[in-house]
Amino acid sequence: MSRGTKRGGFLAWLGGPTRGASWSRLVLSIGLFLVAWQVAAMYLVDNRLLLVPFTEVAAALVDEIADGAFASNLYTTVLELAIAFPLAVFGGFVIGAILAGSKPVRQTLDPILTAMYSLPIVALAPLFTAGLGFGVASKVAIVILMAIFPVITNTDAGLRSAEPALIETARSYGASRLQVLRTVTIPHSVPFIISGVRVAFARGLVGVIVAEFFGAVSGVGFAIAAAAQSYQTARLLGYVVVLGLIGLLASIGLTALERRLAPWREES
Amino acid sequence: MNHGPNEAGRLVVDDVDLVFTPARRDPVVALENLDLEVEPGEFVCVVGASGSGKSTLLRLLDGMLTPTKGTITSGSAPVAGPSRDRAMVFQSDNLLPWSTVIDNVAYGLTLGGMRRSRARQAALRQLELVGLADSAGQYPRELSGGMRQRVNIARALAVDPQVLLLDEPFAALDAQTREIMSAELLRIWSTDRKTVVFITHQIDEAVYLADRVVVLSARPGTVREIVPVDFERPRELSLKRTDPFGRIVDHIWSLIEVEVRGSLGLS
Ligand SMILES: Nc1ncnc2c1ncn2[C@@H]1O[C@H](COP(=O)(O)OP(=O)(O)OP(=O)(O)O)[C@@H](O)[C@H]1O
Ligand SMILES: [Mg+2]
Repeated sequence: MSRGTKRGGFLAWLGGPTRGASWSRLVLSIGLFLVAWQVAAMYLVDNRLLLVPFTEVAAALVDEIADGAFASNLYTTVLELAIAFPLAVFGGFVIGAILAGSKPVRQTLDPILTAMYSLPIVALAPLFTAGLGFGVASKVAIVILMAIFPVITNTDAGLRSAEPALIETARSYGASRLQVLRTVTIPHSVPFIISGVRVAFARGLVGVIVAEFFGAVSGVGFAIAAAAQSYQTARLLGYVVVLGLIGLLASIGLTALERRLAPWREES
Repeated sequence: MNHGPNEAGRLVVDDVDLVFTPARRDPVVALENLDLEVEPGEFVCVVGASGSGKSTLLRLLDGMLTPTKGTITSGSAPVAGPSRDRAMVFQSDNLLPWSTVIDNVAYGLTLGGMRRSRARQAALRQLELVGLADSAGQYPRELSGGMRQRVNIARALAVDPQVLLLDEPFAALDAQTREIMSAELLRIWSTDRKTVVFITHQIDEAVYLADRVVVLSARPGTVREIVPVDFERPRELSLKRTDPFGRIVDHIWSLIEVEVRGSLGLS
């Protein structure tokens, strides 16, 4: 084990695999981003509708939190995601598994699924708002539609792409169909499914925000739309920063999950 | 015929044909009228030109393929599918990337319903035998090719099969590792004398390892000649540099040279 004791050791440590190093990298990259933002807003961009310094954004965010508006908006969006996202992941997994298991079903549904996946589903947001109202239901519907397809596709691909040689080996050791599934096919598909879930979350986040633009009484997207209409750039950017943080947290969580479920892929 | 005490390891291939019938293509006669008898505890190597049906023969012995004609008997029962009495080792190590070395070795045992803790104990003993006990907790991708192939062999030995079937197990290894591995295989084999059927392209490897070398002829694959190898055991690697050894190798080479040339489109 080499420790950062000699000159240049800090950089080596920072690029290393320790937990402390990875948190330091995170703090460092956020810090650099904020500095760049501050500099850009103070010296490069003087259109204050487009960009204001980060310090003002932070102040606006603090006001919003003190006001109580922030908590209620965040609560709404998180609730919508918390209902819709697990449903999308579970549904996507089940449908993906059915597709992987049945060639006729897969071949029949494939064109529709491909079309739906590439469709900009957010285009349906106004329709859902009209049909399901301004509440949580319309957002849940959009998020599910946005998030389910990457999970379906990746589950299907993951379950079908296990190496035939590994399956043959399992069979030569007397594995039953179920044992082949449990010891080869499913472990092989785990990383595929997790990366599907990653894409699904990013799409789900887009879905919930856009749906809230089109009609909501609360939520992060609602607050962004409201701030935009009254030219409150600092408040708007404050919520955008929060979206960035949600995305970052989700990504960190999924990476941790992948380490747990697929430890064999971890770089040493 | 005088059958030895351990009948379980006997393999009998009786007048077997194996015809592949791929969809929308002509059938391929991979093996025709093949007869072969392997004694319990015997080490048999199979050589032959590429495409002569060596892998097909091994798959038949394992039970992954069913003969088109004729019968295959393992011990006293006809082969009717894979069984833990016979373990197969392929050229690629085919280890499960998501399982640690020890769990890979325990794989066949846990499939058979053995409790994981017991299976791991048995696996550890096999890992010691192939000299890899220290790597028990590692993942396959952390090992070299030679180490992975040793794990693969340990996995096959762990189920304590009557018969070990190896399809060019060392083909992906470099020449030095390969020599050492074949010596190691002989050492392991000498401890409990399982029946071994070992396929190789390397004629000297076959002669070094085998009690008998089965030479297959191609198109259709059938037994061309069975060459007995009577060198004393244990065998040193230096045996390969002796004249009698060279004569047997030359003889086998003369048997398959024509076909290898043929399969390459030369004459
Ligand atoms: N699944 C299959 N479908 C159709 N033909 C096959 C199949 N498997 C093997 N064959 C054919 O059977 C013949 C024997 O193949 P086999 O793999 O047993 O040869 P081999 O002696 O192991 O060759 P090599 O030394 O190259 O490994 C070849 O002509 C091959 O093309
Ligand atoms: Mg072969």
